[in-house]
Order: sequence, then structure tokens, then C-alpha cells
Amino acid sequence: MDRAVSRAALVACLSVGVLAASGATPASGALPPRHGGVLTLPAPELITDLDPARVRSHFEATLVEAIYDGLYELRPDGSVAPVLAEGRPEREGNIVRVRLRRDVRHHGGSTLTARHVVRSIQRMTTAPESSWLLGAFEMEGGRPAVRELDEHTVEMTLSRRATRVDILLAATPFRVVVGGSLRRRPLGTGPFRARVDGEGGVDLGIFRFAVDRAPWMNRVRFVPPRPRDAELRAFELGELDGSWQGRSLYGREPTRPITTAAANVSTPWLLVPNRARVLRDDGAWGAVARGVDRRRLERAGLVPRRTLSGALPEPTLPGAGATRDLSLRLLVHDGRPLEGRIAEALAGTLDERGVRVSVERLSEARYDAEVLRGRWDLRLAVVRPPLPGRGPMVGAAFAAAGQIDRARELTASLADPDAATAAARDLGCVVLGHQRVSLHHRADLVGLRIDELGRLDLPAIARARRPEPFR
Amino acid sequence: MSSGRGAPRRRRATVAGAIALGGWLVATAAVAQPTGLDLARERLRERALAAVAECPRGAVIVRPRALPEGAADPGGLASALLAPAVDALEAEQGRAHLGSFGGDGPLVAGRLGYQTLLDVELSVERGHLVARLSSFSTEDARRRGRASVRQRIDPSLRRFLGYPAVVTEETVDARFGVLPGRGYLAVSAADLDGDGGVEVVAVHADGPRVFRVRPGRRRHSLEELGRAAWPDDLPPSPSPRRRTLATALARGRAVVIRHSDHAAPIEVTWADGAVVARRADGPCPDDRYPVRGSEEPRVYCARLVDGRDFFDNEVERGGAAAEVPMHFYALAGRRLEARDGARHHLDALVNPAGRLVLRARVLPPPAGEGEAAQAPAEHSAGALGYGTALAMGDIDMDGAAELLLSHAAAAGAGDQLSLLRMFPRGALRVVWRSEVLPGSVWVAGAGDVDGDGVEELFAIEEPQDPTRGRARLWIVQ
Repeated sequence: MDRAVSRAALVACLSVGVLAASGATPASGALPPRHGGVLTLPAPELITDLDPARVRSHFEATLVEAIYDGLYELRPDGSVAPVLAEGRPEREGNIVRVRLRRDVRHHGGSTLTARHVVRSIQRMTTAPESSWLLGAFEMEGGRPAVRELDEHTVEMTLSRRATRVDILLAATPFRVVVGGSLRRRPLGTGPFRARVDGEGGVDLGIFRFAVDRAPWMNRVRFVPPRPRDAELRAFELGELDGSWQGRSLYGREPTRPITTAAANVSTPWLLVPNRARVLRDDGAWGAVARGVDRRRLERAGLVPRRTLSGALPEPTLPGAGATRDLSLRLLVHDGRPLEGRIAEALAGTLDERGVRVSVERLSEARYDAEVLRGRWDLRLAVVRPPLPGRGPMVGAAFAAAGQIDRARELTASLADPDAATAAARDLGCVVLGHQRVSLHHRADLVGLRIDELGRLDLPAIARARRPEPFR
Repeated sequence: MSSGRGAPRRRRATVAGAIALGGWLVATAAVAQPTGLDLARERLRERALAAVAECPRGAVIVRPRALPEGAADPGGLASALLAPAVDALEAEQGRAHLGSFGGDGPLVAGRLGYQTLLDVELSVERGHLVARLSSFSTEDARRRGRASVRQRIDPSLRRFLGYPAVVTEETVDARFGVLPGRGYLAVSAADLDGDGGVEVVAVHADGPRVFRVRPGRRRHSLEELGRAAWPDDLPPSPSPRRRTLATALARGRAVVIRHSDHAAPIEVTWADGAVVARRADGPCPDDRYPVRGSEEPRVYCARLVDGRDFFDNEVERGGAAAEVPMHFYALAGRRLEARDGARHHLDALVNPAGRLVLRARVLPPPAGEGEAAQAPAEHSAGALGYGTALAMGDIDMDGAAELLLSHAAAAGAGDQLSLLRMFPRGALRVVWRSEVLPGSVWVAGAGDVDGDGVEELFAIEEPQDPTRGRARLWIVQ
């Protein structure tokens, strides 16, 4: 007999009646994570709607990926796998047909049809964050040429033959919104059904028939964001299972075991200039861009970087000129604490260099309206690449900077790193840094990881089992 | 908050569990199955008649020429096996006797006044009792017929051939063989190629793999006989599970696999020297997973709870609804015969909380004339702290089932194998526990994988790091 399995181990010849107790032996072994339970976490920012085409933060990306599925998904090894599609896209020239699986149920209980997919893609035309991806399709009357061929077949006309449409359709904005109200109860096919509470939080409930595997937890509640101390106090009292702010109030050692999941995520923050107003002068813009103090931004929560990603060059910036009497209006979203902190740090730095910056916190709707009217000088934008890779990163950066046409040009060459590298120099913005995302959580949660895009895989989170002695 | 509502719910669940256990225990009356001895006697009778068909009509003498070496009661075995054949030959030929003599068989038999000699050689080969028959005409001493019978050794034959020693902590033999790769989801054993030896069928994420065990002194070696990919016509599951799981059930010369990523069962067979996997038709509806229980029909068709990785307590048996006590990760059932001839139906399951629940149903001996029939006796037992791997077998043929189990803890935290013995009277005893294994054991099975005629229990230990290393097949005997 092999020595590794000595017979002398742990024998307690116990004759057991129905669950008769005996001496406990520390057990270790194989039971999968426990199903069920409720996870309560703070939302790091206000949630007003859940739209995959308008994802602006890693937290929104986390939510939409838990609620909606795409036709395809990009796997870590770079391969593309069908999710809602039955197989690979069928090509005929620049016409592509995608057949849908016939057995996919959506959160409303009915079957997913081609009409849902067509409507979902056409919604993207109104979303500035993602409409650039529609550059891959021919446009018909201002809408992408995407049609419902029959109940389970979608036909698309590509603007260029060479486009890898399966990779494109794996992008987050192409996740299929079946219907419902995106501000209340959106309908998708993902592992969780969602209910937005209208106060900045969201309630996710298990969808047991998910085509991409039902989650371990029954429910994940994101309560509306609260001030740092209030969040930490709630975490210490056990009202919350995690905190984005810290491990404990005032840095004390937590009374219960805490684990931290953290990652430097590839979602760069940009300082975007409005070159149609005061900053039209290269010297002025150059002075502002070169006046950015990344060490101060680091204290605000950014990891200092000058490029969109390690493989891309720094955007070209003009030389610094005079900054006398320069007064700038910097817009930020209300309810996004990190954005506010970065803006304040920037304003402080530039003030020391003689540039007056007034930070204005605006609601989502007002912010969009002000940007549309051009009544701003600086704004902050976070780049959320819809897919891993250099092409999607640069395309998303142009889109975030409001240069939608440049972004659309890149859709045909998403898989071409050289085109992306060349384009990255012309971004015309300052890369402020990348974000570091940390979630401190109770130690008995397993499967809680933050990926390179800052997303949590919510369906994979489970409560750990306690070691069970033999009885 | 939840304790107020949770407590009555738990009580209701307990009551429901108790009712279900009662329902489980009051199962249908068992149908007596022929034993190995019965089957061997019947086949020998048929083959004996066929073997002497070419011989001249007249008196027949049946001579047990060679008997199994080391058998506990070789003479008794020969008498028990050959008596029906002798009776049938007497009815057919007029006169037939069972005899024993040496020398030139046909010559001596002729001198004794017999027209036909039927020589029978009994031997034990790879877990089977083999009888080889040769018939001779005594007049010209020519061989006129030949036949053979092969029967798997079961307890009824063990009574004559001898039993292995009862397994104790000191005699447990646990050795492993290294499997290629990792990520095995189920394991079973079946004689796929019909050569009398049993192959191990391990269900890998990429498809089934078939191995033959070559017993070794320190560790076993596993010869991979072949592997197959999943069939192309297999529909994907409409709602795959977060933990991929599978069941594998031996059915004759095939193994039926049900995999949670697919929407239909797969049958694994051996054809033209290769492993073949194709979409199966039955034994359960497509959305159900076949597992082996002890009650007839012994294939229980289990359904996964929606969105979960464990099975519902409502199962289907022969198209009718039935219940097991609670939701379960794994279920195993056996029918065993004790050395005294008593029969037991034994079932075990591990529920999602790591609780092991067992039931034994002891069937009384048939009632004699004028005697009142006794009701079957029911016993149950349980224990806590076990994992998803569960296999049941009788590895020492003592009529009490042995269970091989993994232990309850998070995946990747190491594991331990436990060998438990369940006695028909309801007692459960820990026979042996392994040292802590670095990997995790998720699946287990039972079968005579080394061809010694006695069942083994086996389990697959996955490497500690799920991205590196190779799985190990532990064989416990």
C-alpha cells in the first residue's frame, strides 16, 4: 500500500445511529460552494439606469454583464464563443447572418427572438459612448443595417468585408437588452434579474434559467452610495458585506476577518479639452496639459500613467504657453465621488500654476446638455474599452473624448494593433492615470475577483462553507 | 430577521424529509433476481445438452475433471453446478450419472458401460467462473462436442469458491494511478469491449476517456485505451450549471453519460477498437440524469434543481414518480447478499449540506408452507461531513456495503478518502480514513477494475491547482 495513504490515519471506529455525534475530526475536501444567500454591497456610484450601450464605469460594466448576455463572448484565451448565438456567423460577402439559440429564455419568461436583438443593436445609435462601434455596419436611414430575417435569424450588412463581426458582437455594448424599463426593471437573459430602486441602488435576483449559468447567490443588493464613514460603519456592523472605502473605520484592525480584492484596471482617465473655447490656443492647452501633477492625482485615487496602455504611445501634446488670466470651467458628474476628487486635485494643481478652474458638479442630464452645447472647457472622461486589446482601447478613448468619427474609423481595424498605435498619438487629451479598484469584503466570500477592466464577476461569488467536522 | 421565518421552514423541511424517508423506505416489494449460481446452473444445463447432441444415444457420465484451485468447497460447487445438467441428461438420454475417475476418460467410461462421457473443467479466470465442457463417444473415444460457460462470480458462487478477507483498517489497500490531465466530472466501470475485463470510463470536460488498470506493487498504471469527443449533434444545455457536473452509469457494454453542459445523454461504447460516443436514447428522458439505486427499476432518473448543481428529491423510476429523502449531490444503491443468503437493498446519498443518509432494507427469507410472510425490515443511518464523491460496493463480499466518500470542505483545501461500512442492521462504521490528500475528490465509482473477481471502489483526486498537474485515480480494495 502506498505510504501516502497510511491506514493509520484518523480512524475512530464510530458506529453511528442517525446522526449520532462523535469526536470531531478536522475535515477538508470537496464540496462545491454553497448555493443561495444574499450579498449586500455599497454601490460606489449612483445607479440610475442599466444600459449596456452607456456603460461609463467599471461598476456599471459589472452590473450590465450580470444582467445581459451577448451574442458572443471573448474568452481569456482570445477565442470567441457563442452565447445567445447558435454558432459562428454565416458570411456571404459583406452580409452576415447570426442564428439565435431557440431555447433561450429572457427575464420576462418568454423566448429570445431576433426582434429583441435587432432592437437592442439599433438602440446604440443614440448612445455616444458606444455608437462608434456601429461604424462596422452599413447605415440605412441613420440606423445600422441590421434586420430580422426570421424569428431566430438576424442579418447584418457590414461596411467593410474584413470586419471580424463575432469579435465586435462580443463587445459589452452589444449585450442584448430584451426590453423593460432600463431605469426600473430592465429585461435581459443574464444570470441576474435587476430592479433599480430609484435611489441610486440596485437589487439583483437570481435567474435560474440563465443561458450563461445561474449564479451561486440568490440575491445581490447594491445599496445607494453613502459617505465614507457611514459606509465603513455599516461594514463594521455587518450591515454591508464589503466596502470600497477601506477595511475599517479610522484604520483600526477589523474585528472580523476581512479580505481585499484589488486590481489596477485598464480604464484610463482622460482630461478632455474643449478646443473651441479658451483652450483653442495651443499654448494655453499645452500649459494646462503639462501642469497636471500626477502625484497629487495619485492621492486622489489614480495610478499614475501617461499612456492608454503599456503598448500604446503617449498622446502628442502642444508645448506650454502663457496662462495669464486663464479661467476654465471643469464639468463633473454629480454622484461620482472619484471624478469629483480628481477634479478637485486638478483644480488645486492648476491654481498653483495660475490657472483658475471652477469645478461644476452637474446631474447626468445637465452634464450631457452642457457638453452638447459646448459650454465647458475641461471635462473628465473614463475610457472603458468594450473589449480587451489596443484597437478597442483607442477606439473607446476617441469616443470618450467626443471624437466619434475617429472612433468609427477604427471599428474596421479593431484587431489591428498598428492602426491603433498610430491613432493613439492623435488623441489630443491628457491621460491622467488608471484607476485602482479595491473592494474590502468579509473573508467568507469566495470567487470575488476584479478583472483587468475593473469588473466583478457577480455570478461567481459565493459564501464559503465552514469546515464541517465528521459527525 | 430570517430566524423567525426560517425556523418553521426548517421544521417543515425536516418533516417533509422524514415523510420522504418513510416513503423511500416503504418501497415496492423486491423481485427475486437469479443468482450467479442459478445462472451458471441453467447455462450449464443448456450447454451440456447441446454438447452431447452429436453423441450416440445412451447412458452419460458427467465427470468434473478439474476444479478451481484453492476453492473452499470444490466438490460442493461441482455438485451444485452440475446437478441440473445431470437431471436433464437423464431425462434426455435415459441414464446419466455424476462420476469421478482417473485415467483415459472415454476408455474407462466405456468399460463402466457409458456411451457418452461429458468432461467438465472448472476454473476461475479474471473474476469469472469458467466451465469448459467436452463430450466424447466412448465407442471410438472421439470428441463429439465442446462448449463453455462463463459466469461472473457473485456471493452465491463465493460460498463455494471462498470469500476474500473482511476489509479492516489494517488490510485496506489504497493505491493510485495517474490519469492524463485533470478536470474529470464522473467515473464509471464497464466491460466495454466484452473481453471479461472491466474498463474505467472517466468523463472529462472534452469527452469520455477509457482506461484499463494494470495493478502495480506500489502504484497502478493506467493504460488509456481511447478517448472520444462529444458528438456533434449534441444540443447545448439551455441552462448550464455554474459547476459543471456529470453522471456516468454502466449499462451492459456501454456507459451512459449525462453532462450538465449538454441537453441529451451520451452513450459510450467500444466499436472497431475505438471508443465511440453518440447521443443516447434513454434510459431516462433527456432532461434527467440516470443514477443507480437499489429499488426496481434500478435506474433512477434525477433532475437538477433549477439553477443549482444538485439533484431534486423527486426522481423518476420506470416512468413513475418516486422520492428520495432529500436533495442530493450523489446517490448510490446496491443489492447485496450476505454470506447467510439474506438479501439487502442499500441506498446512500450525500445532500448539499454534506450529510450522508443511508437506508437498508432487509428482505426476509421466503416463507415456508403455512408460515406467515415477514415484512421487510428497514434501517437507516446517517453522518455529517462528507463531500460529493460517493461510491458503494461490497469489496469483501460480506454482504455489508462499503462506501467510499470524500470529505466536506471548500474545493482546493485538500481532501480525505473515507471507507465506511454499512451493516444491514443500520449501523455505520468507519473502516479507514486516508491521510489528507492535497487535491480534491469530486467523483467516485465501483467495479472490478483489476479483474480479480472482487469489486473495488475508486475515486478521482483532482490536483490542488486546477490549472496544473494531473488527476489521480485511487483504487481502494
